[in-house]
Amino acid sequence: MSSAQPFIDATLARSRQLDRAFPQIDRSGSAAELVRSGIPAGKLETWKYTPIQAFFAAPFAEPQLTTQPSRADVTFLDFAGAMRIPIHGARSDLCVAVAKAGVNITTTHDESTQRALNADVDLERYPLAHVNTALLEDALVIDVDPGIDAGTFDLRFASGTGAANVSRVVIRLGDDSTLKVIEQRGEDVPTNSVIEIHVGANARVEHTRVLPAAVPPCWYLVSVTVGAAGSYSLVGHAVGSKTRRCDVHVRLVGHHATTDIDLACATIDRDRLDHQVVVEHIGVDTVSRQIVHGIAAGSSELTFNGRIHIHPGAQRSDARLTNKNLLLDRKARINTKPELEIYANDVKCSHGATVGQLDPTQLFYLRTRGLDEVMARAMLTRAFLASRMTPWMKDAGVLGIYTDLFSL
Amino acid sequence: MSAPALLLEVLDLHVSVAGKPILKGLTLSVAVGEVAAIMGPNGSGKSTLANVIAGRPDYVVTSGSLRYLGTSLTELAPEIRARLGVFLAFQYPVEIPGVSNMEFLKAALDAQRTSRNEEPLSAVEFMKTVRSVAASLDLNPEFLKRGVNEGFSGGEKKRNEILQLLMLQPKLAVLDETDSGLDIDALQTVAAGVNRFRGATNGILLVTHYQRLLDYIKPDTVHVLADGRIVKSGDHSLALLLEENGYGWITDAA
Repeated sequence: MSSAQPFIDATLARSRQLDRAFPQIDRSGSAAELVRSGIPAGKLETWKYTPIQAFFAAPFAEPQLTTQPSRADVTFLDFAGAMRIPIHGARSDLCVAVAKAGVNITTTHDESTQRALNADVDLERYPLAHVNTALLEDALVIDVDPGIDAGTFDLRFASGTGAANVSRVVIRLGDDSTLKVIEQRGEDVPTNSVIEIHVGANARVEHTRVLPAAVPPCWYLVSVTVGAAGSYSLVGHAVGSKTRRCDVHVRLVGHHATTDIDLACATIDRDRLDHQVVVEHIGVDTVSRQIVHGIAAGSSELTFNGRIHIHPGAQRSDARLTNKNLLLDRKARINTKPELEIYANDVKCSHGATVGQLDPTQLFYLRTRGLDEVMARAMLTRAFLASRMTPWMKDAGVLGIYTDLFSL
Repeated sequence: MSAPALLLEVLDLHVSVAGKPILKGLTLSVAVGEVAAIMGPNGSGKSTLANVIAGRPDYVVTSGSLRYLGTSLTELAPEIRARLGVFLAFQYPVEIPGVSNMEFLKAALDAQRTSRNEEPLSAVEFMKTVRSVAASLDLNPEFLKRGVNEGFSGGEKKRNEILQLLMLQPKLAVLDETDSGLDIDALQTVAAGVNRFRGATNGILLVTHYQRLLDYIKPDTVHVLADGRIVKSGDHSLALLLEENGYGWITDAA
């Protein structure tokens, strides 16, 4: 018996327990797949810098420990004009219909949405989504009807009653609709969380993500499909933790679908942060842009892998990826790997990655105005991150998540 | 009558950049209340002089002295020079995306005031001042919210340097080719800003390639720099002579 067996056994047991309590979710396929494929042994290429085994381990399969959320005092940022949706563990306090015509927020306890899960999640690429499904107690489903401007939802993820968090949000936009969604993370227990987003034809999703410092290992997947002339944009800011892995998978399925991915990430001390972004161009005339800024200080390790995959027939695809990194300390480490895989012959693609130090000319400029070197460095470090931020995010105080970095 | 106090006194200054000697025994002084123009052909060392006064790292003073109000500058960090009242308007102002002009100006002003044991300006006072200075330079107040020099036109960048000059009110302003890349309207606006700054208690070192700027900012003295040394000094008429005859007759003679 391999050392993985206890986790698989615990997952199956927990899954059966959940099946009895919350039968609306179909966990059987994922549970069976876990038994069939087992836990990845050794190192996977896409998990070279983060140990995937940390997420196939206790306490993910453990039963609920308490009846109270473990931390109710998480501070979330206030975004102007957003409707707050607190999510504790898998449970949302707000399962009621929104006071807005054409927008439905439900949980999988609702019969009509129980089949929503994993419709487009690439389960082969993301085996942890099987763990997520097998251990899922509930999910939040947001449906926006065609032609509706749904406004702004602020998803505030905090710990639930368990020793680990397993959560799922499914967002489905009908044609010609729009939604702004904010994702704020405040979990303080190990987390496995999946957000599925389906963008209909000519629909638009603007996703704002804030991942402040956290201690436990966290895995997040954002899995997106974009229909014809639809768009998905992500502006994300993240700091490291002991182990933090963010997978983003965007599939531009319809013609003229677009995506803009704008990320900033920073690590200090001995923290780790690993972003893996996959953009697939499937439809013709699809456009993707990725700009990723990273800073690593202390003895931390920051990883970014940006993969652009252009499918056969995805003619006139236009894909660009830029990754800029600042290495602030000798012992810090940055791993960056932009990748292109192209199977169509009429495409425009560019990618580039740089790793450097703060610009000496910028430093000199600031110092000639009276700022000392420490202040000038802090200002440039902040600027490098703030340049990837919308005014809305600045107003909400997102820069505050980097405070520990600026005081170095 | 005693001679006016010296703001800047450069004696037999030798400076190397990346191991290459650029300034080779430069001697020059600027008195309080004086506007001195430095002219010279490309590569003569004009920008090196401007940068070495501001304390650019990697510009190495190999011998000679550089004194400001009697204090040697050579060992002082750029920010200390700035706080003592030395200002450099850059030939190529640096873009800093992610820092707003306003944030940058406020931080610079606060740092300088704090070093003089003065209270930082209140946000209201600061905004009032900066808006009125910006308006005098034909800069749209919206530009204060944009990143420092980010996406600015050449003219906007130069006007932004003058805005900083007027906000920080240094004692010695070194303007490095502030006229380059400006059309005639922008040149007049910038010159008006410099003339507004000009006064009996400060001094200006005006580095320029062309006489044109001196039509709008009348210098008290004109120095010609060639191959790292001052080769001729005179009054404004020297600049006019240079415009007519080029630099050849002086640099050849030197």
